[in-house]
Amino acid sequence: MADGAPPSTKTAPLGAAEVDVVVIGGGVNGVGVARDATMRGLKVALFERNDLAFGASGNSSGMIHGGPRYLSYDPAVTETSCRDSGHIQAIAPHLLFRIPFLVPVASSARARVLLTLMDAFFEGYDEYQPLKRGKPHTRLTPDEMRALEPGLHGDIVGGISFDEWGIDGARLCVTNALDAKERGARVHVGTTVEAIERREDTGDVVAVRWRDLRNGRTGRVTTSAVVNATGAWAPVTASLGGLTAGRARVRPGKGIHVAFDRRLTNYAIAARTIDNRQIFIEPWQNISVIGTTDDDYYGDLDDVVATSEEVRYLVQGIARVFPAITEARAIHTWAGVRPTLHAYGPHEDALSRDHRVVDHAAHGAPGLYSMIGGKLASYRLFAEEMTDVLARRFQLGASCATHKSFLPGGDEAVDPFDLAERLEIDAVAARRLVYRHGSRSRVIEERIAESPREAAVVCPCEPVLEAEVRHAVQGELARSVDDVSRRTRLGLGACGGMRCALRCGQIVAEERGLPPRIGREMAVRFLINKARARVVALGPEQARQEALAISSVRSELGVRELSLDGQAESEPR
Amino acid sequence: MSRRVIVVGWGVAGLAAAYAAAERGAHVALVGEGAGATSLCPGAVDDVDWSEREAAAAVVGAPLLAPALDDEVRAFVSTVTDWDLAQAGQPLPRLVATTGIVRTARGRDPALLDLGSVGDRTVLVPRAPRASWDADALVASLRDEAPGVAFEAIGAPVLRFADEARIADADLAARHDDDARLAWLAARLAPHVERAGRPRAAVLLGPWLGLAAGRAQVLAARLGCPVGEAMASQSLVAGLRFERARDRWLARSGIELVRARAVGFERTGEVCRVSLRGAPALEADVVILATGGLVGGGLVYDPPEHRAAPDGPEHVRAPFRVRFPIDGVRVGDGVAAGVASSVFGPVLDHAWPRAGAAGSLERAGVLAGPDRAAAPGVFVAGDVAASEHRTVLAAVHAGLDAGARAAAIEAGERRKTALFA
Ligand SMILES: Cc1cc2nc3c(=O)[nH]c(=O)nc-3n(C[C@H](O)[C@H](O)[C@H](O)COP(=O)(O)OP(=O)(O)OC[C@H]3O[C@@H](n4cnc5c(N)ncnc54)[C@H](O)[C@@H]3O)c2cc1C
Ligand SMILES: Cc1cc2nc3c(=O)[nH]c(=O)nc-3n(C[C@H](O)[C@H](O)[C@H](O)COP(=O)(O)OP(=O)(O)OC[C@H]3O[C@@H](n4cnc5c(N)ncnc54)[C@H](O)[C@@H]3O)c2cc1C
Repeated sequence: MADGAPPSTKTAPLGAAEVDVVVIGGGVNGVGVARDATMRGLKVALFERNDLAFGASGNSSGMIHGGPRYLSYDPAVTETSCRDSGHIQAIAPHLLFRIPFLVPVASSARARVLLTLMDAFFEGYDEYQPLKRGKPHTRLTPDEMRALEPGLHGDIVGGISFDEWGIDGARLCVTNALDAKERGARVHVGTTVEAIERREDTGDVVAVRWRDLRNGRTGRVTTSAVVNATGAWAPVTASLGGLTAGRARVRPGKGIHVAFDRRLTNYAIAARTIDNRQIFIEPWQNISVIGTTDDDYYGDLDDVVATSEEVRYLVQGIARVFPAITEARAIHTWAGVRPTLHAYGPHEDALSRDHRVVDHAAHGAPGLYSMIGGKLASYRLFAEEMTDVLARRFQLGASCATHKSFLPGGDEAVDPFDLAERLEIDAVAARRLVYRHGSRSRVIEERIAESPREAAVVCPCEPVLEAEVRHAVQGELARSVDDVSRRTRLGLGACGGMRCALRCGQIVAEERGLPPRIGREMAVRFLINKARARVVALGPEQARQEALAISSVRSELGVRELSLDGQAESEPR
Repeated sequence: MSRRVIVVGWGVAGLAAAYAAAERGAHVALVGEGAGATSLCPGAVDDVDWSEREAAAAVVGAPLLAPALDDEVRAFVSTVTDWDLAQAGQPLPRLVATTGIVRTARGRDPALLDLGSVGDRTVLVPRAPRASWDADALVASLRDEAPGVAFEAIGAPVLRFADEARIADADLAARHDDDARLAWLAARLAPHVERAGRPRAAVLLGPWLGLAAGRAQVLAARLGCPVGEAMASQSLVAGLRFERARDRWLARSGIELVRARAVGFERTGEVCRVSLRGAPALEADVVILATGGLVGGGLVYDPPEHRAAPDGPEHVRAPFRVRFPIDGVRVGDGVAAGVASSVFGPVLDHAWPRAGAAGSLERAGVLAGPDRAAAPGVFVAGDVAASEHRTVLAAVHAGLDAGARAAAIEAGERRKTALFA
């Protein structure tokens, strides 16, 4: 739905400027719009100041869920999420994996009643399940619950199972961006928009000014429309166009996750925090994840990190249903900020997960739009709504087809075992490769056929092959070790990048024709930032690994190098 | 009557302690099991963090020359290990890492190539399809790091069997213990060396040249030019060579080696009793604790939240402890030991070193006085002690000092405590 009356009736001629639309933000909503608008024939340039999926989109719970949580107060969100989840599955089947949930019900005076109520509630949710190929819920006895999940703790009267899907949010963003690019969009990563220029008389947007944050290059691109898809940054971005921040207000909500080595449970399990919030442990790709928090955020959006308090709060809640979590090995944390629709007063968890297109014509800025709110699960629909508005502005007839055409890699299934045999690589490596790239794993296969040494494993934890690292730089817009990690999960295993970061930096520098020193700086920056995210959840085994990594870095790099401390390495122009 | 000393831990600190105590006539039993930091070391032998020294040298604008070392440190290194220490006043060796970094060290495993010794030769770097070896990337980065030296990636086949693209560095290194295999390698490299004009060539390989002992010199003699390895922090090769040298010294030193894990400590009157897993207990006048830090397994980080009950930790406890428990030994990370300000454990935001300052994981260790005494009859040395430098030579120095003090506790003999002479 479009917000802010009166809606813009003004239209703009196609091709009047260098591009028709500038999309600001390379999160799932920005890349979704870039793809849709390009498919409908618009000339698009997308600017992402950090990296694709740097914000909420790469730091979410990684679930394409219908959000039963919203069923009671926001059923529309549940329905749109479920419907769009079905579409996402259709266009990128390789990226989705099933995450069945268990909700244990602890024994108490009201437990039976509660279980019956939940049973009825999930019956309601079952109605939406066919939209996303989900299975109906089941009511389980305590014995059945324990048979499914032997690590479950406590005196339970039974529970419920229901069905959800998982996704790698970063891969989702990358595939959308690549598709847009292959269809003609310009995609600039590491490039921030610094100003949105508007005509003094009419207020129309005419151009944006950008700056490449790594090499300092600046430029200007003329455009007839600007989409502010910067998530929690939206108010900041609106002010770059001379609007008050309040015109694109969000209520930023920080959420963190803790990753544990390996899959610890068979199912995702719901639990409650000390303040009665719902949290979960989920097996996700090759790790286990616990999440999440939701707290109003007032800090730096380009540098969001989990704290040890947040970690302890989550572990405490999970321990009550799955006590072994206190012995498990935490290997990583991540944090993101939700761009939630603004409301003053409600508790964070009660905020709407709906989304809204704001047409700033109502604020005297025709051609400027902001996308506020949303979820990964409904990004495609949100992008469609936004592009419909653009289509009206440019008087385009073409209707949305993003749910009908495959995302890169989604068109054909590749058998990982065949691939493993052909490339003479480990089956696990092949399986992970196929997960991330779908049919595009052939591109990597071709690289290896050309240069067999690229079958070498760079990151043994994930694992990631040399060919995939090179492909991330050549074909997926990665510019740093961190970018490669976001695309491949390189360096996010138990060793914390100790075994791969420097090698990856070497490859990135080589592929980009940069001096080797810059590759090393990228590696150091990655090591420091990831270490900072890990140490807030440190246990005995990881502490030992951490000490080993520190010694190893000291030995090879020297601690002087560690003083880079989070700043971006600067590249030659 | 000579003193009876038990040294627990057979990393470089424990060996140095055993050496110094034995030199002073003590009866020494060395208790060791497992591999620690010394076995993981890539072969660079440092006194202080090398990058700090290079930064200091850059400020002074002077070349990096080797500072003098304590005589006993030198004697220990040449008796017990194969390492090579630069003579005082000479240039420091310049070592190459497989990641393309060049750095100085106070000494080295002699199998490592010293770039300082290649002069105006061209360093040939053979290509090999191994994950941790990319000759072209290495050469690109070395040209940057060592602008005065010429490097060239070459196509000499250095892997003989197909599996060698994948096996661990240490397995490949072990194959070069074999003379015939080393001759094969020399024959593959010789034409390239000739082509480069023999006196004008040097060869850089991965950490592959022998496990029983470094074979770089043998290969160099065959080829008639300098040959050496690049170091790799995860290869274990230099560490395994250290272990072999250690075992050879122990076999000829007369020191009683007890291959077992120390699991308990008791003190009755003047007698220290160390119980062992799978071996009879030992008794002595003094015990030297040299069990390594977090990496070696001598220290454990075990915050109360770990394995806590669902409702949270039931006891507040110090987050660091020594794995081999000794009554009265206190552990800290540079701050006062045992003071807790959270039921759950500390907040380790500064676990990693930054801008020169050691992180809390490196600072953690047994607190001891300047005489290295941690409890009555107990001395500490090496990574297990809360100390300033986590380097091989700092551990050696501490071990020698602790050994000397243990052997001569009543005689009141005092050693200089500085690492440098
Ligand atoms: C903890 C957490 C868990 C979540 N779990 C789920 C879930 O399981 N399922 C689900 O469906 N949804 C989930 N969400 C919600 C979902 O992740 C977000 O709603 C969605 O990713 C928002 O995407 P976006 O593109 O609007 O914003 P973002 O992904 O935040 O992207 C905004 C981008 O704009 C860039 N940017 C900012 N300023 C500029 C500028 N001036 N120039 C250029 N670029 C700029 C930023 O670098 C950033 O990359 C979760 C969110 C969080 C925080
Ligand atoms: C990856 C890495 C790279 C490094 N690089 C360098 C470098 O380039 N230059 C440099 O100078 N230094 C380097 N260091 C540091 C250096 O290796 C250490 O500071 C030094 O080796 C510490 O020696 P130690 O004897 O105190 O401990 P360790 O070598 O850890 O020895 C402790 C030994 O005690 C054994 N042990 C423990 N508990 C018991 C028990 N209860 N009973 C019996 N035995 C026990 C352990 O198994 C181990 O063998 C590096 C360290 C690491 C980990």
